[in-house]
Amino acid sequence: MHLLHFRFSLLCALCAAAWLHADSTDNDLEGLFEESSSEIARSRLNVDYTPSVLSVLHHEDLQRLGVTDLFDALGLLPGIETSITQNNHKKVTMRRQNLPNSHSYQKVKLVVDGIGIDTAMYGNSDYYMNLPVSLIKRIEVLRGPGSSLYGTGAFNGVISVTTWMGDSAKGTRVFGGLGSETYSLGGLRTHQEFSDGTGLWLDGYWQADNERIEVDRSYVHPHILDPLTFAPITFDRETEAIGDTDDVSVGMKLRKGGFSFDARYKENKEGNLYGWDEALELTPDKRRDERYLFARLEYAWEMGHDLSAKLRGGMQQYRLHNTAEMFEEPVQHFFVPTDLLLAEKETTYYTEFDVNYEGVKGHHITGGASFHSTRLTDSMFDYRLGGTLLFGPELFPDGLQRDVTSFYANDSVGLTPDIDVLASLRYDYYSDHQKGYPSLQLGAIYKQPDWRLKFNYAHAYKVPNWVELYARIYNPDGRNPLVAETSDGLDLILIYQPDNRNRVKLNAYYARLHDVIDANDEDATSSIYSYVNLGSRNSYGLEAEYDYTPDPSQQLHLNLSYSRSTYISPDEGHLKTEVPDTAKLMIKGHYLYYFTASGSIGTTVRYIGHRKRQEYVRLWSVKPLGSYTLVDFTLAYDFGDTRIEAGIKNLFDDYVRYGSFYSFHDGIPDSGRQWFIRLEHRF
Amino acid sequence: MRRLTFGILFAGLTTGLWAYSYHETILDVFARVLPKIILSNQPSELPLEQIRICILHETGDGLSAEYLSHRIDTLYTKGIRGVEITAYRQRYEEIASCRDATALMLMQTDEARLAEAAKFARSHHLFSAAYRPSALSHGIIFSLDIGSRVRPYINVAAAKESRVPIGSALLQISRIYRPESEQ
Repeated sequence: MHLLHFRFSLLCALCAAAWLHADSTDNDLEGLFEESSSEIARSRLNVDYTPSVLSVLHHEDLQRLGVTDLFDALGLLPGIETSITQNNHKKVTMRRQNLPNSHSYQKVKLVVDGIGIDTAMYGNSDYYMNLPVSLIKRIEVLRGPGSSLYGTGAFNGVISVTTWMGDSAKGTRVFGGLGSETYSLGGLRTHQEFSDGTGLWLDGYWQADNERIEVDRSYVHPHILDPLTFAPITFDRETEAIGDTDDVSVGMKLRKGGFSFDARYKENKEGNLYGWDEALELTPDKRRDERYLFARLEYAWEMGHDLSAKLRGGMQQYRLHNTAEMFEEPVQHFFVPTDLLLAEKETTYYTEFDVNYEGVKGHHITGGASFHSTRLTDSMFDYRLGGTLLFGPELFPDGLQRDVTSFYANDSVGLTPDIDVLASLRYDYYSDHQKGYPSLQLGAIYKQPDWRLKFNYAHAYKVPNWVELYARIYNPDGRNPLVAETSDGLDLILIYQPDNRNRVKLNAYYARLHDVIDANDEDATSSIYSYVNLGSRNSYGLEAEYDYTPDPSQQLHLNLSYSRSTYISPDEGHLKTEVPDTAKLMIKGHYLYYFTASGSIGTTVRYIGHRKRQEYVRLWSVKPLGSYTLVDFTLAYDFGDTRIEAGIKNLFDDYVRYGSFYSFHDGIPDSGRQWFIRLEHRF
Repeated sequence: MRRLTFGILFAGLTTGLWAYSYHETILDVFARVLPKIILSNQPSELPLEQIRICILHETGDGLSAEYLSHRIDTLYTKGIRGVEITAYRQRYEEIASCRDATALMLMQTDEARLAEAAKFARSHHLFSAAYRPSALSHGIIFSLDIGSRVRPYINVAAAKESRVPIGSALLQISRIYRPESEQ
């Protein structure tokens, strides 16, 4: 009944919006430039003039640098470390906010075409990280707290992806590729305009690989016994981690007048790689299957010369089906295999209303309200030993629901010709917490012809997800009394651009995190733990960027990140140490050289410094993870309407290892050198 | 570092022609504002029947110039208040073909060609606009100042030299270019 009311009110609101529609009039010069300012701001071309720490990556550069997907692109940016967990989750760590032994680690929000990709279960979005570059027009990354602008989930950063949906360029492009580990990619995107003014955008792709990483016998338990007969079981397959990927997505956008409809479906299947237990599974076909669907209807209209509004309604659905083989250790050094089936399905319906007002000279005011309702539709945690249910069958209690009501307002003010100020405030009320959380941002920019000084303060929060709050395996006695973790971040940014060739950007930041939610692992050998609020942590560092464009045929970009971040170990000692598994120092860069108008050579270099491991693991020897350097090399050439790219990733085959949940091994090895060929044709 | 040097050296072994990079959104803004700015500058006692914008480009930038020309044509298919708007493109070598134009729009090029185009605009009393704001230091009249807001960027001295009128409405919202010697 509640849902029926929600849908009915959404329908009524959309009808009302249609009645309120008014044609925009032909503006004067000032209005013309106001309109242009909005367009430039949407494209993030004035990124140096916004108080937040923003980086923007564009399709053309990404493609010519040989970047394959969203995850690969993020690795180019300062302050961001990309890694893979033992069970093949792609992990994006921003400014070292890492939780090495928690399955619930995501502290950044992913937004695709303005739609937050989020789940109540884990708050995760890594199934979107392999979105191919061919579909991506632009990536904007905000480092630091951003929930006042982007809402829940934007605790320590925001990754905003803009696809080609809604782009003005017409026509069709088909693309495909081949690469190492039998990688294959095929897809298309198209934009058609009909005579009645309707615009239609469609895209779709599939990609697959047979990722195999050879490892030694240390990744296999030495003594595995049959759970029923206790007879020894031989591990009779190759000692290789299997990360097979099958990924498919279709998306569409339909626009006519002020109405637009967006939808995308993505299904991502991945092998368990090193397994949940950091031990190779006996059967190689266990994998994770995640499906994400979103649909959104939007109506935008002008309510006068200076006032415009948008009304949106939509739904999002997430489905997880993960099979895995784990191991119990009834007697020390002897293991018996168990079967895990983890499944969840949740559906969100929402409505949002935004107003944009530019009627007060020098001000750009936006405000709005939204209502999101997420319901658990299905959940399963089926954990069996020899056919006997050890735990389950449900992951969550029945009837879980989270309603979030939000209000926000922000104002961008030109105080003087040299000083701009931004103030942003947001309030979100959570029905399952029966509590509201404020977010705040205050920023200022001082502008001079050759340099700009920016100051930014932001306060953000992150509400515990359903696994932390309600998962029966962690909370057998009911709801976990967790509170939201909060973050206060300060940034001071200096941008110096003496001419069109050189640009230097220096950013110093400090962040303090309160009530950090982490696993409470009193017994390091046990896989059963719970989540608790731990103490405050500090993080501070410096990010430096340099761009050099001596002439249009060359682009050089270098960046350096140095960060110190405290961590509270989740074992009984709750030791305060440097955060493990992430690097204090990262140096990255890329160089793009056009040897003709059509041909280019792109080189990217990423140096990730050494990383210490968790100090609480005293039961086995743990060495620090060594530094590594990734060098990628790409040749791209346009033959008329056809572009061909060929490249090598990790050219020097450096040995890359990532941290892991239990730290059983000297890190989780990643794939070595790889090659790829991509082709794109424009019709 | 050895590896970085290798990459850069390898990349640097080849030479040849190149194209300047353009941002589609900035070209869209030029397409939208340029005809209206030219029209707003025109004294009411000298009404225009047609605005012809000649887009000058390097050989490698033909596609970008074509995009700009197409955007102007698409946006102003019906003209503005009875004034017909047309845009066409020429390579910098063919600048003489722009003598019948109302305005020049300069895509990116080297300093010598910018100076030559500015001289041409002065001698033919043409309104001149450039993609790069730095072109104003070579005597071009108009570009865009992209900061937190987008503003017109005007070289008043160049407009006077070219004897091109600048409307007061435009001046009120513009950033005025001042040569380094005056700063």
